[in-house]
Amino acid sequence: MLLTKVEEKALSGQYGTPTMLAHKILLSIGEATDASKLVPVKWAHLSGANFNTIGDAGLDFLKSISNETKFSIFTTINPMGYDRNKPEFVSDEFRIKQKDITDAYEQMGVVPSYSCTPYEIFDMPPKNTMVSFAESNAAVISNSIFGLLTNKESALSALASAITGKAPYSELRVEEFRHPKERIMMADCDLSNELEYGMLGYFAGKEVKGSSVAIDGTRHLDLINAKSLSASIGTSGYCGMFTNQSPEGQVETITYDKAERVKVFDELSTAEDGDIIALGSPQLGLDELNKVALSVDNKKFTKPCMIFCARSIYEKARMTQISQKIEKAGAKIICDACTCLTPLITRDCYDGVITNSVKASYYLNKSNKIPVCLMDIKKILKNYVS
Amino acid sequence: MTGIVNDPSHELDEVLIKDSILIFPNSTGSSVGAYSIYTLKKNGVSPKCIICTSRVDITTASGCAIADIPLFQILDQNYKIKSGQYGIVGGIIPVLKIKTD
Repeated sequence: MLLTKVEEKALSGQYGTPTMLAHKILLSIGEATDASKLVPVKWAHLSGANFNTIGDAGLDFLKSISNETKFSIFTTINPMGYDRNKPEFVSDEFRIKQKDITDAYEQMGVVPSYSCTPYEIFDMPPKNTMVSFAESNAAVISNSIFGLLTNKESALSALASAITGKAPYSELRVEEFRHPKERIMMADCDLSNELEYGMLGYFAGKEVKGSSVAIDGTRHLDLINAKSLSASIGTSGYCGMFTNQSPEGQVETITYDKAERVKVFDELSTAEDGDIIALGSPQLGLDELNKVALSVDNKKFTKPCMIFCARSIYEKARMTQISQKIEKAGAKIICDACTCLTPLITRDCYDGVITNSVKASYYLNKSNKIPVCLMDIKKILKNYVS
Repeated sequence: MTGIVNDPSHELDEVLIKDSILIFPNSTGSSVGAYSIYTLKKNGVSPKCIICTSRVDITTASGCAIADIPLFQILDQNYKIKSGQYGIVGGIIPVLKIKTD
């Protein structure tokens, strides 16, 4: 990869350690992905905000660079571990370390969005704008639905982009790599709800080898189903984009049928029932909160329920009485955090979690070691609200 | 983070990856995997080097970049390396390989 003279100086440490490390990361990725050069990006979205995901080593690293650098472009950030307005739900130790992390990011200039759905909070830039999104659902949906150009970044590559304002010109930032060489065809599958799209996405992420895939049956996706599909593609594999357009030339065809669907369901749905309902991975948008509110109006959840959303979405929901209806039904609405890896849902407290999120199911099973009962939202609201 | 694989469904479950040559196709899943690689190094339980057999992905590349873990890609798909063999990366160290098929 060719570096400019200024980039070479940055790499040699002439502009300080954080800038040197950022260039080292970008150079390493650039070499790995056959980039020809670094290109400017307009927006970085970071992951690595939750103490449960980056730990003490990550915290120390962020502290060490936060005094010496500022983000050079618009930079937003993923959920952290708990709701800033409800600190009583986590231990003092967790809260202190979590605050050190958010302080470090905020010192560098991050917009404190603490959301994995930046596309539901901020105005999206014009199509073909180069960005650097680490959150996998945000990267996939931005490439696939909003026409932005990002690779499926890592927490550190997006951080490097936030510092330098640049990213390697490779893979999904290059037009030719956005044309899929693999296609997923449906056979006897009914994509009738967000859970079905989530399972399809999980299958696609696992099976697809390239960075982009054509998926039949995704022409008229609404945002809720697109979120579910994007989050699960990002969870199970490397692929960072889907398209509904028929690919040109020779492509490999992969069939998704009932047997494959059952395999995915059996892998991820590991419990018959649960003792808590968790909604929000990705965090719920206003439309999703509204659907929940309409179903629970003047009724009660029959099991404890946690609903995760961005703070700005919660504030909008309050203005229209949506959140009040949900809270009146007995659910807790948690801002700034999400279902995945939050200390609010642990094996010590719960034997099983009911959710409609394939992404949450994967991480609850693998990381939190909690069995999961997967169920679509309509069924959850029918079975556990009365 | 202890450097011991904790996934009952994985062939390397309960295996210590410290000071090994760790071979896998590429990383999948969470973007914070890059911090996991860095944490392994800081905790003194990281592999001596990592070899990707499918592609060097962004998460692995960025994690290895700040953790100073040598990272390689095998381009010849007919390579023959097995777990239990030894390789040389500044010393003789064991190979841990994850199936690529």
